[in-house]
Amino acid sequence: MAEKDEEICFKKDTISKLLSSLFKEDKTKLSGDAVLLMAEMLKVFVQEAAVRSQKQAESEDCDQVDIEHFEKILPQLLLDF
Amino acid sequence: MIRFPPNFVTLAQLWRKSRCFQLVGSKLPHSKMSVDTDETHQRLKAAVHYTVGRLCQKVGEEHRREFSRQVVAAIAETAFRQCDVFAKDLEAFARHAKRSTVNAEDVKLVARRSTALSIYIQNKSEELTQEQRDLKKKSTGKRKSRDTEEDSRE
Repeated sequence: MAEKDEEICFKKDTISKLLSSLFKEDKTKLSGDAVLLMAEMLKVFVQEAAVRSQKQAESEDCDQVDIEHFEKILPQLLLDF
Repeated sequence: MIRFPPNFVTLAQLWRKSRCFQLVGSKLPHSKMSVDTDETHQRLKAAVHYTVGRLCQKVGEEHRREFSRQVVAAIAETAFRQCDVFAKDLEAFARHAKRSTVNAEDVKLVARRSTALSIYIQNKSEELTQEQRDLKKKSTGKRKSRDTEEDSRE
């Protein structure tokens, strides 16, 4: 990974609000560590989706990564996470 | 001053509610969302979309290939839905451990499905705890130095 300026990552606030809103029970809370780790995990998920789509586009010799490339890698991506 | 009839507000609210049910209710049948939470939901989605866009752009620059807007939107939507799965898992793990707070151990369990990912998360977690230890040391160190300063002043 080339680290030019700063690393792109999800904001801590976004992740904590997002996860809290998805919990079934309202009293479930999130620790600070857990939020940071989940931000990292979601970043890996997105990067993996992007790189795999990119590879698919490369194998088909396309200049642009299109939805069909993402569609092809999606099933395996979801199985891996 | 114009006075709205008392039923004007309720009609507007009804309209907003029906709109919200069409948008959210069809996607998330279990949701107990009001207009307010729907708005934050959309904002969170936009925030995720933004970061996904930046990450995709970075990957595209590295490999000299552009990502179409459709792909970025699809990845953002997938990530958003994956979050739903993650949240349910985290909650279940925490409850299984008889806790009401999700902590790092639960996140490690969520990452169990692929070995590389679980090792990566394990390392990150260790890094975080190490950082916190260093911070604590620093803060106690500062406190000590402050104490000594105060002692010397006295």
